[in-house]
Amino acid sequence: FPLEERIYRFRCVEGWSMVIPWVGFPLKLLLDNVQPLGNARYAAFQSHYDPDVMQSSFAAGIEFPYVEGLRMDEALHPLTILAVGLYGKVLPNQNGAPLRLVVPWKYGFKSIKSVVKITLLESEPPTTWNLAAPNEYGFYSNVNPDVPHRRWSQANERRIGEIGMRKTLMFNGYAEEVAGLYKGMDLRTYF
Amino acid sequence: MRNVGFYKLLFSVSAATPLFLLVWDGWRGQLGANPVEFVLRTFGVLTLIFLLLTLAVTPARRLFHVNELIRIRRMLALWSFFLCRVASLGLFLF
Repeated sequence: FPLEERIYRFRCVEGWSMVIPWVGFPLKLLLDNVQPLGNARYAAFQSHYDPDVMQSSFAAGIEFPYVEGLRMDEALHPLTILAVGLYGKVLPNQNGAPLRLVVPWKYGFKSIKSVVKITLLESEPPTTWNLAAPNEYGFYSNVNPDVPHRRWSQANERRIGEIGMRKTLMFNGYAEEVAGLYKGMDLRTYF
Repeated sequence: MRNVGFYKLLFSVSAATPLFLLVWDGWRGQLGANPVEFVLRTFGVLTLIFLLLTLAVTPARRLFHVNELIRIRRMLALWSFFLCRVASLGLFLF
């Protein structure tokens, strides 16, 4: 697939954010290539996990391998990309080499790193943080300043490199592009 | 604990050391990617530590029969107050 640079806002659920120039391609190109069946409604992703090198689930406090998921229309959205690099260079391991998901309107933990497996499913797949704390992390996890985390507000964020806080934008500033995906959904219920 | 001055100095130096380290690290640009949060968190944790130390004075006096510990309590409390003020002011400003 032809690579392109995408400069996206990236908002962590913990309240920091960053502007990152990713190098990658739309996930849609890959999915179109495999011609999903009509009943494929969700995409599930799995991270690489090597217990010999990496931290144990017990030490990390979450289940490994890390898994994430998107609804099919989210996965096919033109803003959703698979990244292979950032800042014009190949992805370093800590940023999710060799291939990671980037979904700019969702909290950072949805952008799963080091993807080794993508499965298309009929029903909603489990996601790691939702399994770890279902009352704090929902399946959707869209950036939303009006729905606070159980333990802190999501109204503001500190962009790395800046001293003060700035207002968090609905869908991380991509409302124009993605708000239509959630029309009619109560974003408090589906947080 | 005849020499209270020494103990006061000891605790004050201990309390001030992390703050000097913060300034030192900041000067060298070694406070990490999110320096504001790091500084705020450091003050928060120090506040908690000194508050607990302050509150531990009375139980420690009773438990170990060292009544003179009371003489450093006010200093510990003042440090807690100062650290708390910086932490809350920082949270308010940034």
